[in-house]
Amino acid sequence: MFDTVLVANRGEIAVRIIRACREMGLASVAVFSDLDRLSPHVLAADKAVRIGPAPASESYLRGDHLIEVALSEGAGAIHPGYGFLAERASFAAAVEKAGLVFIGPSPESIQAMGDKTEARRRMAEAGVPIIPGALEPTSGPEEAAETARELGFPVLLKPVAGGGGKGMRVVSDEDELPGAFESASREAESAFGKSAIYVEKYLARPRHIEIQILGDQSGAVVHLGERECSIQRRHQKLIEESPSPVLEPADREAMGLAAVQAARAVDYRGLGTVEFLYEDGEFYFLEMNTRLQVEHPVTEFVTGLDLVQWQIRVALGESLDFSQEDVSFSGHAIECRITSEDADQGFLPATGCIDRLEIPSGPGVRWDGGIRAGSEIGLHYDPLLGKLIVHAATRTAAIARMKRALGELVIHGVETSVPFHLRVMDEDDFGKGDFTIAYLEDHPELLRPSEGDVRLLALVAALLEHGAWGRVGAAGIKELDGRKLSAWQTSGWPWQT
Amino acid sequence: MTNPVRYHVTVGAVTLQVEIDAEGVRVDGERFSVSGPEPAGPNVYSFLVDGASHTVLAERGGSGVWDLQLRGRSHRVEVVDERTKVMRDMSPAGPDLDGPVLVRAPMPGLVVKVKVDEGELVEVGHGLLVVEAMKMENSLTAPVGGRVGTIHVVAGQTVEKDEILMEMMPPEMDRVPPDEESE
Repeated sequence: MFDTVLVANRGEIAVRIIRACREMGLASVAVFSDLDRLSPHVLAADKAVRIGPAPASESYLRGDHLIEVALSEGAGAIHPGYGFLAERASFAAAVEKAGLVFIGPSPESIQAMGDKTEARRRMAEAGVPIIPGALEPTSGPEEAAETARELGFPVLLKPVAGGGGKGMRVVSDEDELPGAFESASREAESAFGKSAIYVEKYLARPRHIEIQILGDQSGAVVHLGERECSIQRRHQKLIEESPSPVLEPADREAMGLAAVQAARAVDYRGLGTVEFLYEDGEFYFLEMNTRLQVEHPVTEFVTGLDLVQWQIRVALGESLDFSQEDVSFSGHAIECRITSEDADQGFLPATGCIDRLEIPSGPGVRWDGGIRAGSEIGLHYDPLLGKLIVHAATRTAAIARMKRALGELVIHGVETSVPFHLRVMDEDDFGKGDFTIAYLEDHPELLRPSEGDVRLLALVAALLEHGAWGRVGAAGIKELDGRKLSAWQTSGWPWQT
Repeated sequence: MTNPVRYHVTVGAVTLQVEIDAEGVRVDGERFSVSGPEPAGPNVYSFLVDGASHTVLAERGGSGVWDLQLRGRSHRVEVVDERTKVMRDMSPAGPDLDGPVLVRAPMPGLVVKVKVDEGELVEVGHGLLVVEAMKMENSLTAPVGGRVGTIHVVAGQTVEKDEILMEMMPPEMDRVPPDEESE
């Protein structure tokens, strides 16, 4: 049992967890690096402790230090959020060894699902369909080529550890394989500390559909429906929604059942997500994320459940007080991830100081944010600034609502993904639900302003410049920037009287 | 009716002609009825364009240069009036010979790979370098087609934001400048 939770994370997810604690009457302890002294999660928590300098390796990733802080602050549990230490089995084990509660699955479940080849073996045994490919790590480029020839190109090289698209390479022919293998291994080593790679068949145009599951400590497991996450860039999700625009009730039931089987196969407890690729009516196990997911709010909207509170309640030993039959879905929810990335420059990471922030509100709108006016956005951490989530009766109404809410959101001082999201909400294929994970390649026009916007910008700039000259020009010829102005240049805005 | 005031407005890679007269505004010949700018707060202006309401964050970054944020994206827009345009076009250097295009690091990171050699001819969009930042590899591509000029970095080197990585010579720089031709 515990009454205080240390939140071993930062940004929007730390704020989300602190909010859940506050509503449950639990005390929260935030931790912060030197860069985050004034971040929203620090301001929101009951207590806050400095844990080191800016680099994550010297702050948010120092598991032993975080456990010491929890012990000295009287926190009985640690919530890891997502990213950082959330899927490190060794951290979960160390937390338990220190006599604290790890708010998440057991170290054994994390271990089994974290090793992607072991997970594939276990899923195959449990009867969950997997993507054709290797069940063991690949020894090197030669063996990879052999497996690839058996499967047929294109193939996908994937790190045995980790996720989130890092270290993954699509290889379309044998010539590319050695270079891709080298670069995938290098990226895997740098991101996860393990360079091991395995080979699976590359599905070119699947959809990414995942199932949220929730289990308690007695072994009861339910699924909470799907999330459609096909709008991605380089395997990083950008937009998620529930329900999927394509899934029939029978598909949902089959995938839900497979996800529950997957969870049972690793004695899962707490919140987890079983990711599938879906193509031509078939689905294949991709991986299981053994943690709270970024996109959990869309499921919260359509099920009416507070997933973070349930995660904590399970950790407190509570049993699920509902069964699969009790789970029902209402309306349609969409989430846009608002990141400090400039879509118009190929999603380049952007930096800056947020000097202006206006948060949307009104019916069916939720903002889960980790920023405030004055926040400095650097390159030390994940570029996720916040998430905009909407809920409405139908998908069409949810898209209209998202468009409205994105229009109200103002973030000035750093480039964000907002313009991209606005364009997607207006795009026909998205509107029809007709897309795959290749959506961005199919729609390069989403990565630049429309011609209408360019015309509007030109018009606005010309009028502002015209006005800047006009204001000094009431008395005739004046000087500005050392230049003489003639009368026609200073005529101001004649249609405005 | 008075003559319209004409501006040449550059947004990204395109230049549009905007004419302002007593009736309203034309952009590349297309007429819009406009009300505004109306100041709506510090650096905030409201426009009604053909009845549609637009809010723009605007800062003047020097003569004729505006930093505008519209629909969530910032744009640096340059406005040149007709007379300045005529004078610029008459200047002997011409508008094209502006020197090499500099490829700068968009963020601090590590140069993982340099994919081209000095003197190589590349098309716009060709991959030039791979820079790793935040554990993701980002491919930097040629902003213009042309010849690769001086390369300032090597693989394994860490770079700061905006550091010059390499120079690109657009095709017009391969032409002999008119002055040298006459000698």
